[in-house]
Amino acid sequence: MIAAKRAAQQPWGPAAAALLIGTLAIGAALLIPHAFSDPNSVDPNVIRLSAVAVILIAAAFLRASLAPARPVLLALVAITASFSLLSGAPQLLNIVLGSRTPSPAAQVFWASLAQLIVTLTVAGVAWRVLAPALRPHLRLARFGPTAAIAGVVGVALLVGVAMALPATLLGREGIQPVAVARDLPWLGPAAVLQALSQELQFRGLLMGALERVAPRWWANLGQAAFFGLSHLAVSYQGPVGPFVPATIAFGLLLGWIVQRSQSLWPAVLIHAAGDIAITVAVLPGLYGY
Amino acid sequence: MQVRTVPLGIAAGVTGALFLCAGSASAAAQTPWWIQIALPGTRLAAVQATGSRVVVRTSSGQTLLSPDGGMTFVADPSLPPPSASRIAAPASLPGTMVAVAGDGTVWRRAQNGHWMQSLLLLPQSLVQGVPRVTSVTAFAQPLSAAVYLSTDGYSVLVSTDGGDDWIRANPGLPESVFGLSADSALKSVYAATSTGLWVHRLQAFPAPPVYTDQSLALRWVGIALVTVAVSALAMLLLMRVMRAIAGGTVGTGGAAT
Repeated sequence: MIAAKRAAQQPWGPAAAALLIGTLAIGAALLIPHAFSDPNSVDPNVIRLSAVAVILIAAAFLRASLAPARPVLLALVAITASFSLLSGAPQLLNIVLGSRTPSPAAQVFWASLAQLIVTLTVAGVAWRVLAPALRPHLRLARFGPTAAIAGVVGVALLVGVAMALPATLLGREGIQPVAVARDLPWLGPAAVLQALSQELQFRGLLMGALERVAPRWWANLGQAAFFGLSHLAVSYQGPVGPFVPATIAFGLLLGWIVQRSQSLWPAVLIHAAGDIAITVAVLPGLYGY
Repeated sequence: MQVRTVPLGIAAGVTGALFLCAGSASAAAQTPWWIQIALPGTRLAAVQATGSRVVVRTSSGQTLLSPDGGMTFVADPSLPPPSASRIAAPASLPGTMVAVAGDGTVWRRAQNGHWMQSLLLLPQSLVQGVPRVTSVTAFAQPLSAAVYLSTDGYSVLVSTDGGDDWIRANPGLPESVFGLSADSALKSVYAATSTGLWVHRLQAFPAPPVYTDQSLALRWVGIALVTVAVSALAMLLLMRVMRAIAGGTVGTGGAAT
């Protein structure tokens, strides 16, 4: 009740401005280099996006006038920095371990663990440095029957919709039993770690911060839009066309479930199931060639 | 030419290759993956290619012969019609084999002789069933480790590790492919499709270009400048907006300090 009253007193403008300007800056850093360089080859781990987010949060901590923007900017740091780490960790493992480097699937697992550690670190920083009235609702503590039912129903719905849609739209065209048996023991847990990280980033840190100052639907829309647009930086191996619109819709659904159940865990479950389904049933391809 | 194994991040390379980039390394034009070479609009049921001699069977039952690698065709009723191949063993991976069983399932034999189901196709939609596997082929000469699999619905799939992993390799090709044949002499794979005869000239999978040290450094400098400029602009804009929102009393109104 007290938190709700405090939330009502916070102006929503700073958070909205931080999200909009942060999104534009990260988007510009992602896309502008394509005009004169080859960023996909030079900077495949999109370190430039992390750099933009880190510069902005550093400025926010140095300038008191930017203090209201800190919660959203911290969320952007968690999203970009942990993504760069997830993307670059396999290469890093190769450099550090040389011939002792584990299999590609095991590399993804360790990279996912690193992503979760970075995300938890940023969440811890947010919890320590932000004023109580601006701390994001992470909703990690609660997992009741409602959340369990929401998770199970959400997974069933996800699988049903994926099977109902045309296979070529999603790329869910076949299962590779040999590859699945080889990789899933690593990629399954990796999907769970990634789902937990990303839910903590988007539905926890970002939506939780926006909810402190804005109506729920606005907060959900804001995080879902950023969630979808951030997939522009992801190297999806299936059909690229529907990827961003589908992830915006998926983000909206996950945000709604988190808000209704007051728990992050159903979204983690559904997100992990979605990532595992992609690993198992999407055939990669030379899309866009 | 050796086909390279597709890395997990192939999409990054494919996307990267499509962007307009500076420098000769990235601006090199890509050869189309599949090219339609003959019989446009003709529905073909099977193809067989050996040493520049290409024989196709149309869905109406006609057998056509090309003596010049598929450039020109003449009807030849005396020829036995080609049939779809159900087994392929790439010469580059001795001991491995991919076979299509009578029920349409795809199996692979590893180099240790162990057989395992290799691919399980999923239904196209709620109303359409599972596409039929129509043929499988590989080069008889050690030119490439690739095994090509055609389907009536998911076009052509390729495996470069003896059938363990598969990718869709059909840019430009129709979804219905009824026959494949690899011709080692011409380093080509022919596809009999619902829209005519197509050919794939053996080439490496698209991959991100590799830059020399100096070129790489210059590109990094450009990216770094953009990053700094964008960040600075965003910071300034954010400060101005904050000032406007706060109406000159920034930091008040319960905001964190």
